[in-house]
Amino acid sequence: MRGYVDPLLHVSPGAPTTIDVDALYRTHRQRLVGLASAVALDPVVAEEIVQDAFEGLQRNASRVENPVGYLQRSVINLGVNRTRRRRVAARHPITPPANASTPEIDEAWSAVMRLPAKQRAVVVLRFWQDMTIQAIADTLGRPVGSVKSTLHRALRRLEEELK
Amino acid sequence: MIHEELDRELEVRLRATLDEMIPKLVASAPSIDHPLASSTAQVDVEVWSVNRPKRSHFRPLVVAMAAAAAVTGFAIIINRPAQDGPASSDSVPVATGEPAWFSLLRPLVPDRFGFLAITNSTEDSATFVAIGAEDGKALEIALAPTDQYSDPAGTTDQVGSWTETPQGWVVNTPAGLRVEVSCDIGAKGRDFPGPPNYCDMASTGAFTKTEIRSIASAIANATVIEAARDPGLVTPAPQDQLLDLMAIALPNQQSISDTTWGPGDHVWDFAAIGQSRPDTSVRIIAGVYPRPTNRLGPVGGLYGDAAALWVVDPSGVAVRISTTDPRPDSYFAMQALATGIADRVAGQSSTAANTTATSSTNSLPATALTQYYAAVEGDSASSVAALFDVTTVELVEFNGWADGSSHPLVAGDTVRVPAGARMIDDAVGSLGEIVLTDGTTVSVGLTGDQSGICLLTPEAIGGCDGTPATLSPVYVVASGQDENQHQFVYGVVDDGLVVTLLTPTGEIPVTTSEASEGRRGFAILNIHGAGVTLIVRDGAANEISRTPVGA
Repeated sequence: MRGYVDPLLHVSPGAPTTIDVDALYRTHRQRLVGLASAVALDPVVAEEIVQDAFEGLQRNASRVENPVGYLQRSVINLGVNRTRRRRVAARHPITPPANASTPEIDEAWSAVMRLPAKQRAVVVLRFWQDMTIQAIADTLGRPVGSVKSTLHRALRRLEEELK
Repeated sequence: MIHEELDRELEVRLRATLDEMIPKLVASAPSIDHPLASSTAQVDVEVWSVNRPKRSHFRPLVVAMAAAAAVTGFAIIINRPAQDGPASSDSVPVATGEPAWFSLLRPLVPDRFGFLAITNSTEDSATFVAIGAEDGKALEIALAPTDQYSDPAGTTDQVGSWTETPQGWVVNTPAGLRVEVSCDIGAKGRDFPGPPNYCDMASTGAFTKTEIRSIASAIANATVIEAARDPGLVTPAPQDQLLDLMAIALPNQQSISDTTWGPGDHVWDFAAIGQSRPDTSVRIIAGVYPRPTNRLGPVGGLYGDAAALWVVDPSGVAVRISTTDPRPDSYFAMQALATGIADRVAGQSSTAANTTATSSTNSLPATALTQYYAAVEGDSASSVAALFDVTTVELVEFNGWADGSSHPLVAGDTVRVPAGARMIDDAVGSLGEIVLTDGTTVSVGLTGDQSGICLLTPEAIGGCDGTPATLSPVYVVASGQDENQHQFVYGVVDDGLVVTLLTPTGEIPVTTSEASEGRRGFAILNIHGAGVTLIVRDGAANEISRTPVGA
């Protein structure tokens, strides 16, 4: 996953009218499920989210110029929305924590899980997907400044928790 | 410099953590079949289905109906399988393009009405609805031959002969086409005895007769009706299927106090049409275009003393609830009803429509059906009763606990909660409009102003009228008590701040909604009981403000 560069984020305006969903699925499913899992903190829900994102892509294929960007944004939005719906449940996470190899990893992962979903999404896109701030902003449809401030808040919070 | 080093250290740790833990998290899920393993999927091929644990059997049918609508250009009635159980086929063809009528009508209707659907069609007439994507306001557009009507003579221009109606305009063109465009206020529709210029009510914002006339004028020059013609598909809804939906509506009756539900007399609507105002009605429409990526709504529009709210589901199903009595209590019940029906019809995983506990968490369905609460450590019969504003005796009797109020609760125990009871944080608002008792509409969301919240009537705060708003990190717009002696509070906070309500039974997180850049809005209405305090903390849990609610 490291070193991922979104190849279609800056797709040319003359976007293809036919999208090979199968190829997209094979290429990006695993990464998208990871992304969705990290945002929603539930791998089963993550599978649903990714399927919903692909369904959305099929429905809107004629109007989507950047399929990968569309999928990423859908996954993030759906993941954040699911998390919101579970706001009470979030106090009692249903996903048992996976075993970490070291206490430091365990501590850091716990802190990441406690981040608000949107902050967690930005952190994951930045440090797991290695996306630039600009690419994150494009993906989420948010201003660069907003992404910067969200990432800044997330890092400050993590820094405080991991002192 | 020190900060940069810290960031780098943190960055390295985060990368290592995410690299290790995200794959582990994914791997912890049960294995799922690869749905596309053997297919050649282009955009116009079949939708696949993964073994999804919560996928309802309604969804494939609705998708099929939506597909039919897409292909035929005709909205279809809501239907359901004859028997419960999984659908026989998970592969349902889906058309990805919009129908011809949509392509013709879309450019003629303002962008703020983001969704369109046909609600009726005959050989020579068609009716459409245009739904506001942000405020739930809607337009009805009816096209028919002029010889079917005898409109009173009005003014004439190059478009045709115009007649003003209470809700909009009618124009009869020289070519024999009658175009009627109306603001959709739901309830009794065009028979609604509102003021003569109903669409110009202040609370409807820019929804004016002038705008409606310009839409009618544009449509009068188009050939939309040709594309919408399909006389073969007007099929009455079987009564038993309406009654199936009634099963969802009936339990909500007690929450919408002005309503007496009965089987509807209209193919599209099943409604509470009483002998006199006020009334509440439900409309369900399939074949809405375009399909939203995520569920929209409930978002509502206020029309003076009436209100209508909409839910638009990604499946293409839209649900409208409208009322002529938009009191806060009714409004929340309407939201729950709309969501419940949309869940049921669109086949989403539905907590509202099921009467069994669906989760091991204590997340609650927003519904007036029997609710289930999963106890957490420290809960008792009395604390749960207080949480839902019911008496301990009521709760004990409802659950049939022989040992009464001393019935022990341990974490994870399921507690049945009487219909209509609402946990205090269930009243937390989200995107959309919330109607207060004095007619004020609080709009929380992407309002384009700097605060993220506008009071549409009777007054505006900074930002809503174009003036810059200077707001502190926590800005409580209003806090008080409504006519039912329920507390309310709403305002905005800087992004990243955490809002909670401190109640006698504990602290409850408050959901905030994205407002304007860097700001989030919250609206909490219908808080039962006193002694509630709004607390705002920063990301490090430092308390920033504490506001007694209702004070």
